[in-house]
Amino acid sequence: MGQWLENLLGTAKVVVKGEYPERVINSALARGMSLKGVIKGGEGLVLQLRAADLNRLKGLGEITGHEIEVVEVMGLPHYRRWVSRRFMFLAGLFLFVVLLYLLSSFVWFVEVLGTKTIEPRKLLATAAEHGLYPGAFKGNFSRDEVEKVIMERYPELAYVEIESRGVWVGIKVVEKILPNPVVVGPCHLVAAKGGIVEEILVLEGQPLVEPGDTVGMGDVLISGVVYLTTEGTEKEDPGERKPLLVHARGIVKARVCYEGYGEQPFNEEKANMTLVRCRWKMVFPLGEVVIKDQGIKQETGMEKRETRERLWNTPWGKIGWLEEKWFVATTKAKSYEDREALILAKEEAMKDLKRKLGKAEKIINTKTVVVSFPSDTVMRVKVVAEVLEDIGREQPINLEENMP
Amino acid sequence: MEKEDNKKSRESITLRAAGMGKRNKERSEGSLKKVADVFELPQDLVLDLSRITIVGQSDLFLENHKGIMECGPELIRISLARGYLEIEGKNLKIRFITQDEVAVGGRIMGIKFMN
Repeated sequence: MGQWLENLLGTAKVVVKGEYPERVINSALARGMSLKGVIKGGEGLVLQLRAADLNRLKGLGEITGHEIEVVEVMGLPHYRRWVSRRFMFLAGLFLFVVLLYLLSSFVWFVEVLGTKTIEPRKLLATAAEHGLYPGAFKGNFSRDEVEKVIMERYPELAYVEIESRGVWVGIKVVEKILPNPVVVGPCHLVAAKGGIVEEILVLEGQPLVEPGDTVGMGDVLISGVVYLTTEGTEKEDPGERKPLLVHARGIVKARVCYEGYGEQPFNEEKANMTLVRCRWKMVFPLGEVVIKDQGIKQETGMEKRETRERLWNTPWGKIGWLEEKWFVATTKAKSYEDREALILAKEEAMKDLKRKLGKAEKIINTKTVVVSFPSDTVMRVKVVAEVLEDIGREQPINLEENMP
Repeated sequence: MEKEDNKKSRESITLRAAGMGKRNKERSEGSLKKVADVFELPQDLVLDLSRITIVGQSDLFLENHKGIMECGPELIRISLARGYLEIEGKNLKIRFITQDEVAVGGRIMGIKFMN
């Protein structure tokens, strides 16, 4: 019998007093009782048995003429009186455990992880269609099924995993990284941007530009139509030579100009929103309870701008909390000197420029140009950056146009 | 005189019967042992023998006992199907006991089979 079961059923420690107490043990064994901790004590034989067998042992003692003295009663039955005095406490504890178990059987949070281009709400909507939404019973949806449906509906996904941790469920996705479209067959290398050619390295094809040339967007830099010239055919009419179509390849580096624009008014009025009231509420299916309400209670002239909430959909309704904030608009005027306005406008222009440049550009030179007049109320600044970059882009050759 | 003779003859008949019973029992045990050997059956089941397991010097498990004869801190006597078992030691105690098995704990110094 396990120790926990003994504690549950209760055990008793008794002393068997009298002559030849082993007789009581043998009689008890013959009646199917199991005893433990049998040891010779000063007054008699000490032993332990189940509390349920105590009365039977006492009866045996009467038959054999031995005295059975109970020394100690242990286990749960011993705490019966204690339990009866704290019945409500134990009932609450039991209810708490049951509620905890029940509430942990629902999904309270669903989160999408790993998306880059796909909107998470689309994935959440798909999952909700198949039973996975905040407030759903865990047994109502199949993880495999939701994963399968998401994979089928979004071919741009490479991997989907539904991870469940307690009341939180995460939809982990990995999007496919598709290669850039590859031009197969004969093509030209054309300018993707306008600029001044600095370097040209031809790997295959006929170069049509030289360093120092100015090219516009779409101009052919390296042609994929090559006319073969040999010693014997140099003097022949070029019209009779047959062109060879190749896949033009090479690197054409050009100086490309980028512009960034920024402006800063000399006099500026900034609108500040001042927090005047804050209210916290608990939301239950049957209604709302205001926990705290701080600030001015007057509603006129105020604007409710910010509301934070944490609400969970449960089968019984929404449960959670709300935080509401009211603001009053105040304006603050500020004037800038020419120098200050120039710095701020330049900062704005640089931000604009960086946004246009992207990450992998190498800036050779930058120039700041003030484009506003002294009489203007706004300082306008243009930042021009010269960047050295490869402007070549492959473009398939239209065979019908190029072939004679 | 006649009464005494009758008594003596009755006693001798009883003793002879007892001797014959003992001989019969030994004979049947011998045949059962042979049967167990031939059919490779466990002898403890066929001959109602006890099985004793001793773990180190501190634990003794005995299966198929017939009750406790004496229980003391230095001597425990357990009845078997034939004879009894004497366990000598120090601080001896019966850890648990059921109708079929008994576990003895303490410092076991010696075990004797008494017929």
